[in-house]
Formats: sequence, structure tokens, C-alpha cells
Amino acid sequence: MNADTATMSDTAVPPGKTGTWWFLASEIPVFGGLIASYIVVRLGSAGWGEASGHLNFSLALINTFLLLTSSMTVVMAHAAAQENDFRRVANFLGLTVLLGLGFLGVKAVEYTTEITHGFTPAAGIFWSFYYGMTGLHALHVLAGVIANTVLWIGALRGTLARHGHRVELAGLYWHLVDIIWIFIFPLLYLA
Amino acid sequence: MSNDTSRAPAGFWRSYVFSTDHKVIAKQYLSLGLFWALMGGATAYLIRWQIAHPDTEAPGWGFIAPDFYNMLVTMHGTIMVFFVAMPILLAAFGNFLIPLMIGAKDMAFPRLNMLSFWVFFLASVVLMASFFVPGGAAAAGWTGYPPLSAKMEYTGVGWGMNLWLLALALEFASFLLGGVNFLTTAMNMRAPGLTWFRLPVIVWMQLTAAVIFMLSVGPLIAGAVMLLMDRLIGTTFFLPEGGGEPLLWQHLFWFFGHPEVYVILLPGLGIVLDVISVFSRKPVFAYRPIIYSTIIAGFMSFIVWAHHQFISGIDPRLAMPFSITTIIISVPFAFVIFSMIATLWRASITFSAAMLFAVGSLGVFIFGGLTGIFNGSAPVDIYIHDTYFVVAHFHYTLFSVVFFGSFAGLYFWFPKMFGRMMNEALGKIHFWLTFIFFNAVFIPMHLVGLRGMMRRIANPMQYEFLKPLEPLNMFITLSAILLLLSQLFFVINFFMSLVRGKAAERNPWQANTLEWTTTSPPPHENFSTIPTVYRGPYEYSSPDAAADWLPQDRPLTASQAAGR
Amino acid sequence: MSNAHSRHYLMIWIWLLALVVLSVAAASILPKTQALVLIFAVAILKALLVARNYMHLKNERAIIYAMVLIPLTFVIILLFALFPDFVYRG
Repeated sequence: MNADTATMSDTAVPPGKTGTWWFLASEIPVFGGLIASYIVVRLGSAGWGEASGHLNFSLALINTFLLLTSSMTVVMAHAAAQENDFRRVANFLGLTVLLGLGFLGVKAVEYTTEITHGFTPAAGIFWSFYYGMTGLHALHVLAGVIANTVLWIGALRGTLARHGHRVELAGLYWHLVDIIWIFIFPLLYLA
Repeated sequence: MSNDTSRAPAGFWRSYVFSTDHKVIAKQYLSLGLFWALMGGATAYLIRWQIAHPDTEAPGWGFIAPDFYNMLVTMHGTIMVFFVAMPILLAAFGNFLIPLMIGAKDMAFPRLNMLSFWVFFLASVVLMASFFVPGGAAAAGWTGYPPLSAKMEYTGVGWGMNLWLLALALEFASFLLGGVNFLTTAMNMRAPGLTWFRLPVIVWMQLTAAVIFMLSVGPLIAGAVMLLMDRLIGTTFFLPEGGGEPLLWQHLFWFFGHPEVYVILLPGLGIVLDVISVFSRKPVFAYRPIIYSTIIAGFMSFIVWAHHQFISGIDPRLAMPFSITTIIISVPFAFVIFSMIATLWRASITFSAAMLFAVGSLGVFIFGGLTGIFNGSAPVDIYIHDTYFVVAHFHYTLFSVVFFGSFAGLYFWFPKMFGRMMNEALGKIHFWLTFIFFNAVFIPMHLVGLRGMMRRIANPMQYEFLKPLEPLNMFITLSAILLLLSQLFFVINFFMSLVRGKAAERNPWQANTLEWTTTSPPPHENFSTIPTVYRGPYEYSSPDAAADWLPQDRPLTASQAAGR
Repeated sequence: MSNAHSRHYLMIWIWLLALVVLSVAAASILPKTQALVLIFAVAILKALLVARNYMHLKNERAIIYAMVLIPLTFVIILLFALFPDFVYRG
């Protein structure tokens, strides 16, 4: 934002945050569309309970724990950034990255087990949606892990201090990814 | 921001290729869009040749096989919507005008802006590449309905279709990033005194279009991922034999597809309103209600989509609600059209080339809007769906903004963009030829459609009942060829003016908005000092000024200031 | 100051975990339909907790709320519009 011009700011929200929220607003219909499709196709058919019974509930539960905790650690990083304590920022960002990698690792184990047991994406409509929803979500987790890693490295090196607000922005994206999982988990594993 | 904006970037590459200056980026989008317009026109020529003279050799090309024809109609639609309309109307005009019209130095995120263009460039490369892979480019219609699109065996197109999906995904990403930029810039960086309701209409239109796009494209992104998975890894989202639902794709596509046409429409309407105002020397009639109508129409655009699916096997109970919403959405747009007419009413009009195109756009859009009413009413649509009546309808509505609107904008803002004047005489010839031949192409097309000619068939003459339409189809094709050739007047004018046009002054049209207060073209960072705004953009023929125009940034007189 | 924030974030985390436990318990104890209702109500509650507290929505201006609620509304409209074609088979 150009500090030397007296600009009219409608929202008094910094541009980075405004931009990030617009981006999140556009992500909502992506997963919303996918999830809505899953809901109606599932409600309209019979017998998906059989297929979903082959999912590994315990692993998904672990993933839920990992992601929820990582949401907590990333907002702790944001609080530390506001206090300009970039050592704490680095610690919490590092934790967030580890938890995110853990999520992806567990997902990889799940996928491998399922595929070796014959439950490939081609195994039926339930599996199409399972791989579609969790796969697209996992790609978003990966993107978040990458973004958080970049910030983590910046915190370790001391270069993040000038752009401390970016921790909040990355956190906003990360929370959205968490919220999407909050819905995917029951839809696939509990229903 | 860490990039130093206090010096203009040096060097060819940073100035013209990897620039973060919104004006350069706008011109990059414009160039790429105009290139694709050429490609889209070429596909149109081949399509029309094949219809009028089926299974003969098209001059300059050769024989058109049925599979190739399917690819032509697919790519014509894809190119025109996503690679011509979007980059020119939204990205080029939006990028160029928004910072200038709000009195800002550049967009809120200049580097993101540059990234947006290069992502779009990548999308273009991917789409172009899809023509050259084995099996050719996508051939399942620009709407890509499965099951046809879901399995390679059905079309014979393999990687062409996958690349098509990838190109679209990249294009969507580019415009999502662009939308973030447009909205954040307008929300945060308006000049002092520039309240929301002092913005030119086109800025409101660009912003509304950006919001509509960003909120509607999601389900199609989801659908595209699903379709790609069906094609590549064996999922069965849209394949009935695997428990999938072909109709689901249609809903996901059109949930976006319908708002998308308004995304394209709104900037065009904005251009027309602003140009009409300048050359009528009158304020835009009912400025605020126009804004409200546009926003209402934006909301409503999300609840009309299934009118594209009336005969596709949807639950019949959906037909009535979607018919009703479709008819209702014509109301806010009609209001905007009436406001355009009211702006012209009793005005002292100058018919410059830009104005001709603006008024032409208005006329063409009215015609298209009227036929929309027939299409939107389910009982009528049952008979005209998938005929050339629909094709005629949407060419009227789309052409009015994509071509007439873009030309109006280009003739109007060319001096500001390039610092030179275009040739007015050539511009007027361009208009009349385009207007005459456009109508010659598309008015008969309504008749052809009403007589039952269906869309997307390579050889209408294989059907007895369509044989009597051959003379009409030949007439349409001839007119289409003449329409395409008429564009040479624009091409020649454009390039000639770039190098030899008369040097443009700051404000050749004596217009009020902020872009006209700076030099033509504007310098890097646009303004030597950020302007302060004292009034709205449409103070033409105002009692407060001796001249028939009153710029937004002219300070108030002492008495005016006391009176406020 | 940061201690107050940190404590708050930790509390929310505890609540979130408790809600997960609740959902899992419901799935095994309650009959199917009731379990589903509870589970999805809990999911909405968890999402609200994260959005309002971790994403600071409760401190943000109305425009930011609109940027979330409007797309959500459209998604819900899409969801219900899909019911006739896929859930209510003729």
C-alpha cells in the first residue's frame, strides 16, 4: 500500500487481508460445488455405506487431530508475530508445517492401503468422490505447507519481520483448509 | 511492498515483457485477446464454409472432416468466450482503466497482476498446443458435456481434451487472481474524495463482473477436476456405467456458465454507458439505479442457470422456477437499456466512431435481449433449444459487447493508451460494414433456427427438411466472410495509427473522468500528483461550468465550496 | 496481551477436540439419523469456532462477513437445486 498518498480506504482493512479474503471467498464454491455434488449423488443412491466402510476411520481421526492442532499452532504463530517475537513465530510455524506434513503422510498411507486392496479411483462412484474430495483437499494442504514453509524459513532467517502480517494471511488460508476437512471428515467417514 | 515503485523500470524486458505496470499488462492482454480473435474468426470462417458448402474444400484451408468440424465449433466457442471476451473486456479494459479512473498509481498487487497475465499466457500456450497433439483439439462442444467428453474413445480426442481442461483451469486461475486485484484496488486505493458513487459506471461494472466470476467459477473448477479424473484415472463421476451422473456436469457447468455471460456483458455495458455519456454531453441517466440494478442482476445471475438445460432431462419441476427467474432477470437489464436510451434522449450527440459502436452495441443488445425472452420461457425453449435460433440469440447479446463494445472502448481509449489518435473515417467505415454484415449474418440465422436447423451438425444437407435452407445458409456464409473481411479496416487503422497517428492531447474528447487529466499515454505511476475528486464523473452540460464538461478533479469555486 | 490471546486459542482448541470426540461417540452410540444430525451440527459449530476465533471473523468488518456468507449462500442454493435431479428420482 502506498503510504505517501492520502487514499480513501473503504474498509480500513489492509489490502493483503482484503485480497486474501477475496481469494478464500472464491475457494468456497470450489469445495462447495464438489461437496454438494457428493451429497446429492450419495443421497440419491443406495449402498454407499458399504463402500465407505472400507475407509480407515482411525487414520482419518488422527488426521482430524493433526489439522485442528495445526490450526491452533498457526494462529499462535500469528499472535507471536503481532508481538514481534519471531523466534516463537518460527517455532509455531515449524510445528504447523510438521503437522501439515503429518497429515499428508497419513493420507499417503491411507491411499496406498486402499489402492493395494483394490479400492482404486475406478472402483466405483463412492471411490471417485473419495479420491476427488480428499485429493483436491490434499493438494490444498500441500500448497499451504509450502506457503507456511516459506514463511517459516523467513522467520528463521529474520527476513519475515518486515512482513509479519503475512503470517496472518497464510493462517487464514490454512484455517479454510482445516474447515473444509471439518466437513469432509464426517461426510466421508462418519456418514 | 518491497518493489521500488519510485523509478520507472529500465530495459526492454522489464518495461515491455515482465512489467508490473498495469497499463503494460492491459496491453499484453489486449494483444493476446486480439490474436485469439483472429483464431476465433478463422474457426468461424471454416464453420460457415462447411455449413454452406458441405464437404467441399474451403478456400485457403481444404476439406473439413466431420470430426474436424466438431473441433471447430468447440474451439470457436472456447476461444471467443475465454480467450477473447474475457481478456479484452475484463483484463485489458479493467487493468488499464481501474487504477487511472480511481486516481491510483497502479493496482494493489502489481506483481500478482503480472503473474495473472503470464498464467493466462501459459493457458494460451496450452490451448494452442492442444491443436497439434494426436487426436487434435477438444471436440465435445465448448460446454464439454459428458459422457462424450469423459472418455477418449467417444470423440477420438485424447490429450487435446485434457489440455483443454488444463487451459481452462489456468485461465480461471488467472482471472481469479485478477479479480482479487481489481476488487482490493478499488476498495482500498481510491483517490481522496472519490466515494463509491462518484466512480464511473465502467468501474462498477468491472467490479461486479469480478465478484460474479469469482463466486461462480468454483463449481466448474470442481467439475473440471472431476472430468479430468474421469478421463485420466478411471473415476466415474459422469459415467453412468460406474454409477455416475452426466447431468451433474451440466449443472456444475451452467451454474458458472450463466453468470459468466454476465461477467462478459457488464464491462461492455459499462463501456457503452461511459462512451454514450461523453458523446451526448449528458450525465448517465439514473446512475445510482443503474448500479443497484446491476448488483441485483448480479445476484440473480446465480439462480437462472438451468434454463440452459430445459430439455436435457432435468426434473420437469425445475422448469417453471428457472423460467420465472430468467424472465425476471431481464428487468434490471431492461432498466439499464432504458437508461442508455434516456441518456441519448435530446442530447447533443457527436457520432464519432466510438459513439457509433456504442449506439450500435445498444441496438444489437436490445435485439438479443428480446430473443432471450423466447429462449428463457421453457414451453418455447422446448422447440428452439439446440437450433440456430439460440445461436443467433447469443451472438446478438455477446457480439454487442465483445465486439461492438470493445471497438467502442478501443476507439475511445486508444488516444489514452497509445498517445495517438485513430483515423475517424476508417473507424466509421469499419462500423457501418460491421453493423450491416453482422445483421446480415445473424438475422437470417433466426429463421434458419426456427425452421429446425439444429446446432453442431457438419452437414445440414443430409436432411431433406433442411435442404430448402441452403440458399439462406449460403447467404449467411457470404455475409460472414464479408463481416470478417470488414475487420481489416480496424486492423489497418489500429496499426497505422500506432505508428503514424496524430499525437493525442491529454483530453481529446473533453471527458470528465480522471484518466483524462494525465498525459496520453500516462507515465509510469500515472499521475504527477494524486488527484483529489470533488464531484461525480458525469457533470456534462452542468450549470456549474461555462463549458459543457466539468472534470472530477477541478476544485470547487469558493461559492460552491461554501454552498456544500 | 499475548498470553490472553494464547490462552483463548488453546481453549478453542480444547473445545474443538472435545467436539470431535462427541461426534465420534455419537456415531457409535446414537441411531443413524440422530447421529448424522448431531454430527453435522457439530461440524458447523467447529467451523464457526475456527472462523470466528482463529480467522478473527468476529472482529472483522461486515464486508468480510459478506465475502464468506454470500458464496456460502450460493453453494446452498446449488445444493438444493440439485435435489430434484439426483435425490428425488421420478
